[in-house]
Amino acid sequence: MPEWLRRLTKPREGWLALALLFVMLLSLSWSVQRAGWLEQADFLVPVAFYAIALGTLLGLTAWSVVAVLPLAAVAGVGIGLWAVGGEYFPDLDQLGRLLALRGDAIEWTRLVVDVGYAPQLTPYAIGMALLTFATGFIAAYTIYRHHRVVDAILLVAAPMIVNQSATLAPVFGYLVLFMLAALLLWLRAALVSRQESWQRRRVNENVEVPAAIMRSGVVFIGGSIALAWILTLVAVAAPLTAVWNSADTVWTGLRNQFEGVFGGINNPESRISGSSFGPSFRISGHWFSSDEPVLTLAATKPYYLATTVYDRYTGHGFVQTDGVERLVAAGDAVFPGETPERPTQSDAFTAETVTIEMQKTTGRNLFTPGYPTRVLAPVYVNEMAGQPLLGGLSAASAIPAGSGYLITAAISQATKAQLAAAGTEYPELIRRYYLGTDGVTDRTRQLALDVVQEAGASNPFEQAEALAAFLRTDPRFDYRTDAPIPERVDQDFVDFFLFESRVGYCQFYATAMAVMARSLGLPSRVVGGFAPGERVGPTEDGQGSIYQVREANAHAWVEIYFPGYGWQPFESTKTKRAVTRVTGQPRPSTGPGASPTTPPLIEGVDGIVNSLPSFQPVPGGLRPGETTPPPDPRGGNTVLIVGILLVVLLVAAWRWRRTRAGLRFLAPGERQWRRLALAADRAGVAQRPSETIYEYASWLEEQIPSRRREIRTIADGKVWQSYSGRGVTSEIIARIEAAWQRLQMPLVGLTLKRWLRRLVPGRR
Amino acid sequence: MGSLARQLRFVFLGTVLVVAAFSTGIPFLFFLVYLLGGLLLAAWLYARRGLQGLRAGYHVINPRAQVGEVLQAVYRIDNRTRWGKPWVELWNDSTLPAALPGRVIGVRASGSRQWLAKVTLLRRGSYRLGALRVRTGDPFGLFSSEMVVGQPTWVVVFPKVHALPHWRLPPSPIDGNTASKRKFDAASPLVSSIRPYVHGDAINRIHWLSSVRHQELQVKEFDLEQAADLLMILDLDRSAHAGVGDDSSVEVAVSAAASIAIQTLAANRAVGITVSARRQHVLTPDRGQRVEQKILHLLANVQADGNQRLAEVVVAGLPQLRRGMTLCIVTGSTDREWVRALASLRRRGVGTLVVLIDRGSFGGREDDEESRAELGAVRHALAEYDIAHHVVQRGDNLSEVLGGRERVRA
Repeated sequence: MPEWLRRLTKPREGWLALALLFVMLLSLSWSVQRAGWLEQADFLVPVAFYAIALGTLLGLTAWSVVAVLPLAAVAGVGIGLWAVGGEYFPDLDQLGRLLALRGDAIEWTRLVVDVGYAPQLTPYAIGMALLTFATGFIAAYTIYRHHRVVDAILLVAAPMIVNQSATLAPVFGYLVLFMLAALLLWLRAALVSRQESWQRRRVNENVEVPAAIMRSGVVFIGGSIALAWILTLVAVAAPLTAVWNSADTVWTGLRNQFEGVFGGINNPESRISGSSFGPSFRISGHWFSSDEPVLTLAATKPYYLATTVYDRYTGHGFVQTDGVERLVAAGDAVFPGETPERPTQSDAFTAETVTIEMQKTTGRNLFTPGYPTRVLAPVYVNEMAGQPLLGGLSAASAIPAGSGYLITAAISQATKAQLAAAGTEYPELIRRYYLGTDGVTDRTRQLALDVVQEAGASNPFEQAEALAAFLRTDPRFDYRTDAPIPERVDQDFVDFFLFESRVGYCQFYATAMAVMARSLGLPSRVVGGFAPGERVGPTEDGQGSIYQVREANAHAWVEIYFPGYGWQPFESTKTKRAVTRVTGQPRPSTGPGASPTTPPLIEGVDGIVNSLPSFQPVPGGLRPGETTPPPDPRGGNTVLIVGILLVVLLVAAWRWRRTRAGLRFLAPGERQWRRLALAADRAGVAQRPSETIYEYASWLEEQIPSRRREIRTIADGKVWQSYSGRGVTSEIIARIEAAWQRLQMPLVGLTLKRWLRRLVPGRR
Repeated sequence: MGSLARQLRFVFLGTVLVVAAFSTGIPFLFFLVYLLGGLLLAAWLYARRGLQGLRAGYHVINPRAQVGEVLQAVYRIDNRTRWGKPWVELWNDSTLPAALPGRVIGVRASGSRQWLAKVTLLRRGSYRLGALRVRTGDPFGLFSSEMVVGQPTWVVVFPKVHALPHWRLPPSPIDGNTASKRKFDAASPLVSSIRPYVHGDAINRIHWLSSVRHQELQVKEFDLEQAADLLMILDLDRSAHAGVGDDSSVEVAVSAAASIAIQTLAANRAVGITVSARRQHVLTPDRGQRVEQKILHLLANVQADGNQRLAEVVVAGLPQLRRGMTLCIVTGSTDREWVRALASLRRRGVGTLVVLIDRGSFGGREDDEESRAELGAVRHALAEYDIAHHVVQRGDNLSEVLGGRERVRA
């Protein structure tokens, strides 16, 4: 049989490797499909199949890589376009599909470059197909040409891990399948390498050996997977999250930077976006939400829960001015110094301590009702532009599901009359950061003026109410989660929304109201967080209620600043209810800074405390009434690790006792010699069967030259005991015992030294 | 990728995985950490405990054998544990050109395996057969354990000895039964035939009774005895040999020397040998099994690495030769000086035989005119001095070349 035919029909790795590689690619494809990045992703499986087939075929030929790579590239592009076109444009002929794909790509590029958030999905599909093809082809080629199976496994594992990391969809089963195939492939490759090594060294293998190795390997794999699965169910924690706070910021920045390019992919099960609130939002035209529970709130009322504040309008959305993060210990004041945002009208606020328990990880974001005064957990306060202005609250580490925190906030009870009488004496910092109107068109300004004039609003509160009511109730506006956005990059978003599209979701409305308010001279900001959730029952003490907040409650709203009363929320989104305030009577405003000393109601008192029965504080967090954090309750891994250590210690103790028991009744010279031999065996310098006592003693003396005399003493004792036919005197016993005492530490040192040599290759 | 790079890669990936898992708390990362951690731990334990309770050993059945014979060793392994060993690898490191084959074998719980390993010995020499090495490891090839059992041993491979059924030493001019240094012309009392007298025949060789019977003078012819002792000179001057490996002139020379020595010893003659390798080895003539082993052992380990010309070796060896002995020279030298050195031997009553290795045929120069001319000149010189010689060329069967009388030139 010619060599090329033999190589093709009987490859070194065998056909089992090909089948296992295909299973790996299949589980990767299924995993990506299940993650739901694209609604249509059935093309992945055929692409993977053809990639592996081509990679195997070209890997088994003797063609140069110079010929193989261009051929594979052309084939990959062809297969990718064919598969994607067939799935996305099934009704067109082949040429029509190509033209449709081309049109989508051109349009997608134009939109991404101009405004971002392109809705065309075929470019992503093509990218995914090419990535799958490249992965499958290179993996197969690496196996069959270069025989580097581990590299191939790592290559396929990389996208698998990325996908698993990025999605919240239940794709764990695919990972198990993937690992099963990967480990079997690794096992098979290790066996092939081993057999070649035996053949090279003229070591004949018995027929039963390969099967025995495979059998034991399968037992290994099955046992390891089962054990890992069980451990994963009982022991998962994230104690290192705090270490990566800075990296988290970098990641957030990166994510925001690429949001325009990948914004077209809206995946409700994405771990990357999800309900996390970044420092900016660029309105994409699509909004996804689900009924999945996010958190539980124990409070007296269903509050808006804010986490991020946006102060600067960009023409396409709002961003938060870069600031600094300041760590505040659990229970300390969020703003210990002066801040213009602190409400000073203490009679218009009540302090309330609410409990928030996360049911789903949303990153580091902390949520607060009203104006936060204290958080009973370590918290990072984001101070915008380095000023005492609240940009957001975040925890020291990602808050795992099941954990929560207590937060004390000043809840506004200000009446309409009080807010109407608040005046317009805005502090300098508020004016500097919250009145910017760059890019606002004239007709937007005019519309805002028309709205307030038509409503007869004469003060900032009434003007804000009028604007919110206009956007919320005007029949020309409509609420849609799939809304158009400006196609021209230079077109102002608010102008487009108010005068052209008039459809959108919360971000559309909040942005429009904030901009309109600013055009009227009202300090405004957009806030990201959750709208009030659904009441599910009372708290245990009956003082408050428990509210279920879901993904669907994720929201953006507007807050307007009122001197002495701080930021007050307004609801401008269509379909949402207005923020309710009692009418009340106007009271004389003391103005900003009227109360230079911190009112006790706001920062010193917990007020009404609402807690949850299942409340588990975040690391470093406090329970109601506590002043110092309890010990780290991160039980899962600790229990496991302590358990493992305990078992190891017990086994070690049992073995030690057994060894001692075995040596206890030996004759004195014999006992020390056995101890010495045992310790030397552990160090890797065991006595060979053919060595006499003195030969072995000489060998040991070479290993520990500084203890020659002691080794010789023990060897003499052994020889005397074994061969002299006479007993050993107590004096000699004492000498042997002393020699053994002096030998123990050098033997430990020798053991460590030899272990180190084994660990560091090349040191012999 | 080297072992270190591979290990570093796994360490790096493992570290990244652990840090990622403990930083994010994502369950699938913990699954991978636990899976790979468990796999590594199990593999390490498996490899570490793999050799526990194993006893292994081997012995070589024929530590001394000739080229072409089969070296045989019996291996045995006992498993004294309650766990089977799916695979255990046993082998010896050795300096043999073709090592004894190792074996990978599975041993049942409390079971034993024994087998015979064979290898054909291809090249003469003394070879070290290392201690038995036993190795096992985990199924993924990540860890392995190895133990060394026993002590190294030596295997001596003697040169190939060809049967020379028709080999006879050339007769010495005198009998060799006495050590007399007295010079005489007719040493043997055994008269084999008579012939007519020719001018110059000694008077004392005339057989008078036959002369009377034939009515003319008849002289006696003596059937001379073979010499008692054989002294061989194996010329291992590097310039006298050509070729490499098994197909070299030195191997043929050594084999020829060994064959002649064994054949002569078998005839109960004393044999001595001088080997002019880098060091000159001299074994004085002796009889018996012991000298046979000594000669074979010597010939097993010599190489063509000498630098002493054959003429010098012959001259230096002349004092050892006594009347009645036979000198056998095995050489590939085409230097004619040593032929002249042999000229006096005949007069001293020393028989001489030369096994001339045609080194030109071993160096790929069979058609080289110069080489053939040199060989021809030597043969001419040998014939001139009436010295018997055999010419051995590459590919010749030594049994035929040395045993066939028709090939002897005298």
